[in-house]
Amino acid sequence: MAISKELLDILACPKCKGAIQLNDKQDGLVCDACKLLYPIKDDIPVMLIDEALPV
Amino acid sequence: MPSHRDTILDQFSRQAVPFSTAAPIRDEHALRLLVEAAETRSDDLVLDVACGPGIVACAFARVARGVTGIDLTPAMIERARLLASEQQRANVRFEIGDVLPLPFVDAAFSIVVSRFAFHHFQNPAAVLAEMKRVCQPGGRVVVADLTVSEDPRKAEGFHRMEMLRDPSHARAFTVDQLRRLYRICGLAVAAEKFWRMDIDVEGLLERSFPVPGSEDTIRKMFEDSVADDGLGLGTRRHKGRLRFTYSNVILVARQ
Repeated sequence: MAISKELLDILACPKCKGAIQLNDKQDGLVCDACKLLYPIKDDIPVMLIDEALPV
Repeated sequence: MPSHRDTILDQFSRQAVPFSTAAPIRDEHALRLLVEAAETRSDDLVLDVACGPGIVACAFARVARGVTGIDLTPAMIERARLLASEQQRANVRFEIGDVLPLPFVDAAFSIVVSRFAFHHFQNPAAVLAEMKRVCQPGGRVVVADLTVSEDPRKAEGFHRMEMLRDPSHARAFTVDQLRRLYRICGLAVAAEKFWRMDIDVEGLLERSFPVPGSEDTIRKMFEDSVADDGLGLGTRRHKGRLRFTYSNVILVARQ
């Protein structure tokens, strides 16, 4: 199941609580302000700062 | 020494299967009490904070429009997805994440609930404030948890036992202390519900991962408490087995 628009609207970056968006490959959620990517593993967003990747 | 977060991950990865299948945790009556106490309606969007194996999230999903569960432990989220799939709940989804902060925008949900998690939090007031933040005006902030005796000696006895039985334990509260947490966060408690869970000590130990070598100490603490109720859990012998009772509360506030 893909990440729905409804979920994207309510998810926030755990670091700055700002908006995040789906990346082009649709395998992660990006916070432009923090320049971090939160991976989506098996359709489950991993919203942990420790496991976020720099973008 | 491992961090509290490492201890949580370790305990809950191991507890994922035994906890999610334990009868008192799956008790239908208790789940219905929670869903009803939150005045859940068909248009509600629910967040289950520290959702564990998704039992509460799936119970809300029977009534609410949509439910999101969030938990730190991947093994718990795996169980939660399995349960949602078994129950064919298409309106529930799960995420891996922490509670401080909750990775959601302000006022994202109409019900924000957390069951049997507050006694694991090192900063419960901050978590409750986060629950309030992500709850819409007019929504419900709901905490359900076990409670300890108002007698400080018994509460301390329970704390000592529980720290051995489950090292991820932080601090359980009296009902009054939980009410105070709500007040600190500017939440007015609108409803309180109480329920009890009768537990078999050996059954509990079978699904626990205590401090290595402490099982007999824990058993002795329960045995000793039959005479003086030193744990505040009403421990008694029933048909040759040690049993006790958790007194649980549900607090509901309107945001």
